Parts: sequence; structure tokens; C-alpha cells
Amino acid sequence: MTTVPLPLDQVETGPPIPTSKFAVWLFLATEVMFFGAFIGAYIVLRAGSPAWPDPAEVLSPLIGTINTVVLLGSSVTVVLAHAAASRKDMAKAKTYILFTIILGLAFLAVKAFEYNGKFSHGIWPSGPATLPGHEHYLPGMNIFASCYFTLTGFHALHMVGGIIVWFYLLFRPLRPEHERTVELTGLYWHFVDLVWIFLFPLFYLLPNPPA
Amino acid sequence: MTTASPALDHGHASPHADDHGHPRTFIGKYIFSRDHKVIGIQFLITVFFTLALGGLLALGVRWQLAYPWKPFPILGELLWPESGGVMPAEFYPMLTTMHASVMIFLVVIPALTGAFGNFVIPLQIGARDMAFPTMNMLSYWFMWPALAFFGMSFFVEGGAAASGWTSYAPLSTVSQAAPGSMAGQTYWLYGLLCVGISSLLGSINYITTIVKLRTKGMKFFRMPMTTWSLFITAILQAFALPVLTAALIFQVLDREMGTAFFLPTDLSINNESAGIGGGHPLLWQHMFWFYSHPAVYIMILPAMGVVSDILCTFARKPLFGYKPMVLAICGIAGLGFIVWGHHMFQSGMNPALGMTFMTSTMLIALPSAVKTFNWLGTLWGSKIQWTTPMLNALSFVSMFVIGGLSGLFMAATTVDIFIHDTYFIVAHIHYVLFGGSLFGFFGGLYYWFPKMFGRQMSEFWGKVHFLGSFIFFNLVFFPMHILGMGGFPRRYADPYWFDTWKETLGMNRMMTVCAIFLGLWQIILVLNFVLSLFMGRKTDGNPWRSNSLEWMTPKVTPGHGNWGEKTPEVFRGPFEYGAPGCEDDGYLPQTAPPVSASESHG
Repeated sequence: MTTVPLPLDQVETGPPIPTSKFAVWLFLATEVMFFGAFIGAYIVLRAGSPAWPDPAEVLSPLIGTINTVVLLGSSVTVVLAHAAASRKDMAKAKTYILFTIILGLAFLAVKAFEYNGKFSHGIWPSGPATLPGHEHYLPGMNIFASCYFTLTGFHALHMVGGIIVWFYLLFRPLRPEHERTVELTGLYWHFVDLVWIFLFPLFYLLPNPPA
Repeated sequence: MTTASPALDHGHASPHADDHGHPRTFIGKYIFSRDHKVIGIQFLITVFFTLALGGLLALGVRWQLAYPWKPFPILGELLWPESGGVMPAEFYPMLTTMHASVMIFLVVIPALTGAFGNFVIPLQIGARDMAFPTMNMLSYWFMWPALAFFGMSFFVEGGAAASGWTSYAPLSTVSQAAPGSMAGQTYWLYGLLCVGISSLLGSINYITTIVKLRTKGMKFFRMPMTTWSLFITAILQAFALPVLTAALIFQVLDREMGTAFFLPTDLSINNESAGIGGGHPLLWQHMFWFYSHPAVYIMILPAMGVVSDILCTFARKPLFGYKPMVLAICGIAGLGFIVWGHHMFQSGMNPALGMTFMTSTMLIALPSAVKTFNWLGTLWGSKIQWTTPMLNALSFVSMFVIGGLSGLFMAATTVDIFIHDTYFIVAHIHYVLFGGSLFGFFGGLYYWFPKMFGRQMSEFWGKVHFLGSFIFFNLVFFPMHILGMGGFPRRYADPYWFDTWKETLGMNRMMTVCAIFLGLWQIILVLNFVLSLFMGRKTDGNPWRSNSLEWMTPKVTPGHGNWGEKTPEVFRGPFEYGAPGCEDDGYLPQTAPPVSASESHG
């Protein structure tokens, strides 16, 4: 048998997109189905529920808006990080990654503050739900809390996953050939932001139809 | 996605023609292997064990139906000493539930997509490995937690899951509803989540590999049908599975965290409130079937591909209607997404919606008929070589026709309302899943065994195994149509409690005896497999003289990297048997240089 080293002749065929990028897009497509199922279930449950708490009463649209801006800001820093990485300016890229992490953590902190507020009013799935101004349990609160905590919770978990990858990129030596990794992580991060862009109006803004 | 690096830079900077440069230790080479061929064989051998487990559970079901409340032979004394070996009534639904769950999620899907998908895809498209070898390894290793969860669930309080493989809410979501809805149901859910991760990793890998790593000249419409069917299957899986994952998460949260996705308002169980509720049990059915209907195609499409390849090879003829065949697969897959409601005609839905689901379901008969007639067209006028893979493939075609036609009965809403939850459904699913998928699996096993191990399985014992399996299979499952027409119900531990069905006991006993023989007959397959590993006739690289690319590897059993120094170049489709320039038996491999000017431009 010959021991001559072989050229890496595994050719990439098919559409002109790098293999890893193709796979990430595919993964994001499955994520669309995953969150699509969540959001579809939410719509079915809310539309089919005889009672639903007034969003303005249980959630703060102001806090939600601030958090949306924070998250969109993190998407901007991701774009800047990738732009810096494609200029081979890896130090700059790291700075923007750091900003992304800070903004992501800020979003999660606000989310934790919001969750804490709900808990203090007894709003959690099967919680007693003692909102000020209401003596009794609010109808529909249980199914509302189920949807709210599950959907925003899984969104937050996806953010935690993204932040872990950003930390990994931050603490390893970032070389110019890692531009692709920055880009792919960015793709995922944008997707997670996009999910929030759907969740925010669906939970915070969409009013109940007039009785 | 940082853990998954493409094959291009997966750490072998300079692969050699020989098996140099990959792990030499036993654990690295055979246990935590990233080689697609080893992973495929790992899936295959795992499936033998899960198949035995699922078969035993089925025999438990059959025993109770033939000899209700009689001591279960051999194992009975061990399992239920307090009742003298008689299975308790609560155990029966656990048997049906776990039999179906094991067979679907741990046998048929890993056998077809796991074993064949891994082993065959890179070889058939001329790739050196899957696009993401590490992900591929993980997809195998996520099967084991699933198996562990399923296995452990029998030993937790209340026993294994018992609300059917469909796990309809609220029976499955309220712990106090039934013994099987206690911890066993949670284990079932965790097990399924693991299977889901495994399938998702696999399907992303398959799609990427097929799109990006085809060798020079391997156009999409030069891929063999096995790869085509696995490609479409992977797409189905990638888009349907996340919905099941979401539903499983809902159910876990309903059970563990007090959410109410599937818990109706003011449900009482045992005269106690089951919770505030506010959710919709029907939502579970919709989400479950949105995955599980495509899943039945995930379980049959790869077998269709395998069978198409086998039929062509042994008919020594081109596949009749290759492109329509591919389009038919795409059609079945596409329609598969919009028919899930036909499982729920009895659950209550707007009649207009029921009519829509009925129509879309009936439409599936069109691509299925295209496939069937194309198979017949392939066989027409050919000189069939009656090898073991061919026998199993032919049996696939005929059994699939029976299963497909009985499917039309269920598609019709009015008929379905009568046969819903009867043994007619059980007959149908076994004709497509056992008669279809499993015979396809047997065929593929005999067919690719020489490529996997360099030896051939015994043809004589293969034929004996086929003949017995075929006869006993039909004796077990055909009478189920008759039972079902008589209204014989699924999932009843003792249907003979009703006078109507007392007279079916004799028929059920006959079926059980045949089922025991069918189970024992599989020992022939296992022995043939194991003995052929060491004593089978040694083969050259292409014992069936097949034209498709997987048989063109430089070594009989391809080594690391599959293709030696250079990946092959492909000049024509996979089924050009008997094309101009071929050898006497129609042999004209995909890699043979063009024989005519017109072909070199094709």
C-alpha cells in the first residue's frame, strides 16, 4: 500500500454555499418549526380560551419594549463583530462580541426581573394569581402563565445557548479563519432575536377582543 | 454549531489510502467511531436487540389475546409470582404501548434511516464520510438514553407508559389517571425526546451530505433510489420532528411543572379535581399527528428506495420511470404534511375539515400507485434472479399493496368511523410496517451484507427465513382484517368479556401460535447473520453485479475514507442495466467511462 499523503479531494458540490453554513440554515429551519409549533399552539390556546388576562394588566409593554431594543442592539453588535472579523480585525471583533454578551445578559436580567414580578403575584402555572385590584383568581391565568413562561422561557434558554458560544469565542484565541464561526453564531443569534420579535407583540401588545 | 466541523477539516489533514490516520484502539474504532460505516453497523446490531425486545412485547400481547388470564409461559412466574404468572390487567396496555414505541422509534426508524442511511448514503454518492462525523456519532449515542429510559420505565412505580404509543392527553398527562401515567409516562417522554435529538442530528447530516458532498458527475438525478428516499425522508424528519419535540415538552411541563397545555378546564379524576386546566387535549393530538403521520412515511420511504435498488439489480433492468419515482416520493412526502387529521376523525372535527383531510389522504394513492406500477414495470419482461434480497423486495411490493389498499378504507371518513380503533387498523399498520418496512429491511440487510463484512449471508437459510417469515406474517396479520371488520377492539386486555367476540377466540389462538413461530423464525436470521460474519462465503466487491456506486469501492469492505486515493467520477445513472456498451448481464457501472459520444455529453 502506498503511503503517499493524499490531496483532500472531497469536492463540495451543490449550491454555492459552504457546507457548515448550509447545515446551520437547515438547523435554523428546524428551529422555525419548533418555535412555529410553540407559537401555533399559543394562538390556538389563546383563541380557544374563554378568558384571557388583559396583557396590559399582567405584562408591562414598556419593559417589553426596552428589552426588545436591547435585543435588537445585540443584533447590531453581532453584525459589527462579523464585519470586523471579515476585515481580519479580530481584536475589534472580540470587543463587539463582548458587547453582544453584555446586551444578551441585560435582556436576560430584565426577563428575570419580570419573572420575579409575576412570581410575587402568584402568577405561575397553577399559581394562585393574586393581582392587585382582583379579589379572586383571574380566569385564564393558568393557561396564560403556561404559555408565557414556556415560550419566553425556551427563548431565554436559546439565548443562554448563544451566550455560551459567544463566551467560548471570547476566551479562545480568535484567528482570522474563525470568521465563519463568528458568522454562523451570528446567524443563530439573529434567529433567536427574530423569535422574540414574534413573541413580544403576541404576548405584550395583542389586546383581547372587546367583550 | 462549533462542535460540528465539516468533513473537510475534521482533523485528518492527510488521509491515506490505507487505514492510516484514524483511531486504532478498539474503543476509538468500534465504539465511539465517527466512521459512517461503523456507525451504520452499530445501528444495525442495536436494532437486532431492540427488535427482539419489541417482538417479545408483541408476544405478550398475543398471549393475553389467545389465553386470557392464563399464566404467561416461562417469564410469568418470574414477573408476577403473586398471581401465579398471570399478567395483571394494568400490564396489558403497557405491552401494547411499549411494543409500538419500541418497534417504531427503536427498530424501524433506526434500522432504515440509522443503519442503511449511515452505511449507504456516503457510498452511493461517492463521499468520503458524512458531512459531520461527530454529529453522526452523537446521533447513534442518543439512541442509548432512549433505550435506557424505555427499559427503566418498566421498573418504576406504576410501571411503563400505558396510554398507547399515541399518548393521548389527558390520560397521559394526569398522573393519577392510570398506573401507567405515573413515572413511566415521564420516562417515555424523555426517551422520545432522546430519539428526537438522534433523528434530528441524523437528518440535518444526511441532507447536508447529499446536497454538498456528491462526487464529480453525481447529479441529483444520478443518485440511486435509496439515497433519494433517504434524502426526502431526512427532509420530512427535519421539518416534522420539531413539532413533536414541542408537543413532548408541553407534555413534560404539564406533568412536572403544572402547566395546562393539554389539561381541559375542571377535569375530575377519581372524584378529585385534576387542576385548573384551561388547555385543549385535542391540541396534543394535532401536534402529535403532525409529526407522526409524516413519521409513517419516514418509516416506509427508505424501504421503498432500498426495494427499488434491489428490484433493478436482480431484474437486470433500468428502473421503470426513474424521475416519476423520485417525484412520487416527493409527492408522498409533501402530501404527508397535510393529512394528519385522518387519524382524528373520531376525535371530533368540523365535517368540512374531515372532508379535506379525507381528500388529501386519498390523493396519496396517486404517487403510491405510480411507485407500485413502476416497480411492476421494472419487473415486466425481465429475467428475475431469485436471490434472497429479491424475494424480500418482491414481498415488500405485494405486502405494501395490501397495506396501501386497506389504508384507503381508513381514509374514507365514514368507513373509518366504523373501523377506528379496531384490529383493522392493526392489520393495516402491520402490513405496511412489517410486511413493508421490515421486509425492506431484511432485503437491504442481505443485499448490503457483503459490502459491510466482505462475506455473503447464506442464500439457503436466507430463503428459509424469508419463506417462513412471509407465511407466518400473513397468517398472523391477515385475519386481523376480518377481526377488525367484526369490530374487534384494539387495546382491550380481554375483549372476550363481550359476548360478540367470544367466537373469535379460536382465530386469535391460531394467530398467536403463528406469531410465536414468526418470532422463533427470526432466530434463523440472527444465526445466519452471526455465522455468516465468520463463515460466510467471501465475496468480491460486487457480488450482485450491481451498477450503483456503493459497489465500486477499491476495497471489498471500504476502509477509512472509502475511496482510496481519489473519489470516483460518475458518468451515468445508477440503473443503466442493459444500456449500449454493457456486458452480457447488463452490467454497466456508474463509474465506467462513457461508451458513446452521446453519453459523454449526457
